[in-house]
Amino acid sequence: MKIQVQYYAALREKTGTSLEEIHSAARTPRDLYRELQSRYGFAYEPEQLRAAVNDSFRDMDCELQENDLIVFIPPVAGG
Amino acid sequence: MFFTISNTEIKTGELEEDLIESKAGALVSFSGLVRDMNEGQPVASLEYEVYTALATSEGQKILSEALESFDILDAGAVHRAGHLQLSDTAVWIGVTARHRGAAFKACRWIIDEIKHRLPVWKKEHYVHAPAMWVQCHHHDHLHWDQKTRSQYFEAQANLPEHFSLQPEQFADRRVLVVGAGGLGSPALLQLAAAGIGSLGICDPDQVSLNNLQRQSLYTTADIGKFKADAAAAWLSLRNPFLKTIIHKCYLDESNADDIICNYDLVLDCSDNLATTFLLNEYCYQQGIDYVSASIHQIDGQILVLPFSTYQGPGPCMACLWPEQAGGLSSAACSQTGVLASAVQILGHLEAGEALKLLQHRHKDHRSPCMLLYQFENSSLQRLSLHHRPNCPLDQPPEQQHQTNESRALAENAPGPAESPGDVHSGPVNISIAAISELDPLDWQIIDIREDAERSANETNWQHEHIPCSSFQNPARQSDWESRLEHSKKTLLVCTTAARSTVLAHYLRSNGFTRVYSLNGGLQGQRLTAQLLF
Repeated sequence: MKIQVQYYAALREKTGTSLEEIHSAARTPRDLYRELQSRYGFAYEPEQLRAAVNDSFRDMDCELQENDLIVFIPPVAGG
Repeated sequence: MFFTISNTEIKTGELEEDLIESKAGALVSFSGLVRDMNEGQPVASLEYEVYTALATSEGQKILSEALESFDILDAGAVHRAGHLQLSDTAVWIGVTARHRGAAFKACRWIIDEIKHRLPVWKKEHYVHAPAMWVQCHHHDHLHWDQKTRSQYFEAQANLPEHFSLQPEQFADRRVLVVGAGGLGSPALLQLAAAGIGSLGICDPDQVSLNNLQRQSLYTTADIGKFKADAAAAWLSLRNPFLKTIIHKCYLDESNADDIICNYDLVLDCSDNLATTFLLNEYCYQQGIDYVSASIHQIDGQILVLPFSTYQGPGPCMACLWPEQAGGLSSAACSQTGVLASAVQILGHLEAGEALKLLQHRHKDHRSPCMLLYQFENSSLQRLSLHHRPNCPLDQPPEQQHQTNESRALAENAPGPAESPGDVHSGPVNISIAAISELDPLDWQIIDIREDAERSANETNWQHEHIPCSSFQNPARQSDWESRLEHSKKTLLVCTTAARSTVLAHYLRSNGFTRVYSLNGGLQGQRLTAQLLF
């Protein structure tokens, strides 16, 4: 499947990019994250993150579709 | 309603104007500023990175939820993105409402939600260390709402309905607790646990080392802090649904009226008689329920005075002790000595009595009484209270502040039922250095302590013994009535004079006019004896 992945903050610094298009067999955000984690060496475990798909918060185990936009959200610190 | 992410400086004035409308009585705003320190590290500047699309939708969701949950008119918020300098505004929130209470609450709630939910990340540039992304550790925190409230109070809510002790019974009640020490600590905890909506905490003191042993609200970290502050903080941690109102002051004539009128019940947990009697006076006048406890060493007494139910004059503390003398000592517990568990029991008992008066359903059936707790013989006695015809509090205000002397004269004035030849009774409590001074031809002396108390004590008591409980028992009336020697004056004696005072008043109001109580009780006698030898 073709998936867009957007990166912010610490994840962006680790990958060196804010947006990339990837091809993956992953069906869920959790599976996708595991792939990316082994590729880039992210420090976060999936349990520490939330996932947003097409600009909405979604479950880490929801089903992904072709051309979805995913953002992995590390612990937030706004305010 | 508006929620935006801004890459430029936030102009708060214009934002406020957008929210103000003529219905609004209050505008509460919050600005989150860039601070020069974080966890001990000096900060030079900071950067915010924002996932804009999701932040905007989530921010709008938060404001909608606020508009739904709080009684407010409008809300708006702006969060910065980009590089900020010290003291720049990083986030701004504005809330309008008809009244300020809801606006303050909603504003607080919104910033808390923003901090937990908005996809925003902060990178701090430190003065002496490399820049770092800040991690927020507030994951999975509970929201304090209707649902968590039900879970919190589950045990109490499951009590049978006819007890009328569901937390909802107490949610709108306001209780003032005067004194946050040995008695106040357990009382405050119990009232908070029962679901009381607002607790006023009145105490001018600071926590000291020798308080910790028995004043269960405080820890070593609180030494030096004001008790009222530390108590409120701990109570809020234990019960997030509780509202506390802090009064860091002594209650006296200058502020008693203003403070007390905001409450449904006053719980006296103070350590001095002056406060206890002051509260009695103000609560009696304002018709506010009053429960007072005091402890001496290992024993204690509780007075339950449902003033709000009185249709006319009724019993109060001044009825018992018009001279404000007698009863239990007012010396500091740490000096006279006190048993921590006895204090805690008293505090819990008095809070329990308060809860009964605070119930909506049964309140009118509560009658004035005194509870006496004795540690040694594990007893809890309940004595009814009766109104004293010449109680100082029933005089018109000008006369209440007469000297004791003129008041005593007024008390000794003959009533219409007495013939001119009778001896006028005078004050109930009389002080004598030794019982042996009394002429047995004039006086009958009766020890009213219970059997269990007496076996451990003096065995060479030459006088009469009729336990207090016999007087309280209608079935035993002919027993004790026949033993009273009507030609003599009667002196009732007990350990501290608490019971003998109440009983003497009771007997007088039932026609036995020449009954007295030994001031200070047998305990006072022993002390005197020690001084003499």
